[in-house]
Amino acid sequence: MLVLTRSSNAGVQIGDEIEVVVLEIKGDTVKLGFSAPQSVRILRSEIAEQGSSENQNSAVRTASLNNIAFPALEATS
Amino acid sequence: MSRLAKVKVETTTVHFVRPLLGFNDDTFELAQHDADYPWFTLSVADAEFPSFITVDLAAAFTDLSIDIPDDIAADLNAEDIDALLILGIVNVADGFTVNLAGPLVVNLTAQTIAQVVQDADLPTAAPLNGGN
Repeated sequence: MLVLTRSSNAGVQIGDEIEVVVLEIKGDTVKLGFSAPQSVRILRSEIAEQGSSENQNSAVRTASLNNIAFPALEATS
Repeated sequence: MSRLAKVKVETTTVHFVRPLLGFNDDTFELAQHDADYPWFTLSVADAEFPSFITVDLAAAFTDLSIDIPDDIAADLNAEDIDALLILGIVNVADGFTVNLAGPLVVNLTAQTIAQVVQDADLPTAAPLNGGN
């Protein structure tokens, strides 16, 4: 992992199209700003990890779909 | 978001315009589970794994609002946001619960699909009525 020391309002350029800027440092919290093409997905690491974990926990083998009893549903408001 | 009218979907090949979190596969078969609306299955093409059980969120949750960013809508070639099919991935291992935090958005016309992680604090394991 590349490690760089940056101060408030300093940035990091990643390739030609992505820039990360340190907007604010307060205590043990850092506020970051991202400039990137819209096609680049930017997620908090814990959100990405949680999403990946949730998907993997929900994945089943295709053959097992025939063994699942799908219940009738009532809409929830 | 609410839609009481049933949708009918033929088995359709769909392509993820952005990777499904945790997987590299991008081509899946989306099928309505027999006549048991509003269940859908999403199975990777040409392999036995992974498959997902999904549910039409508009039918299962009548008061749910899903945010679809403009860039994802553009990637989906979505001309009409209201015509998109919004599916929740269901976990059947621990009862029937649905992940509302990362719904799947499908454009059946363009055969495109994306998982849209929500900024709002939505549950990843919301119980489905009738699923217990």
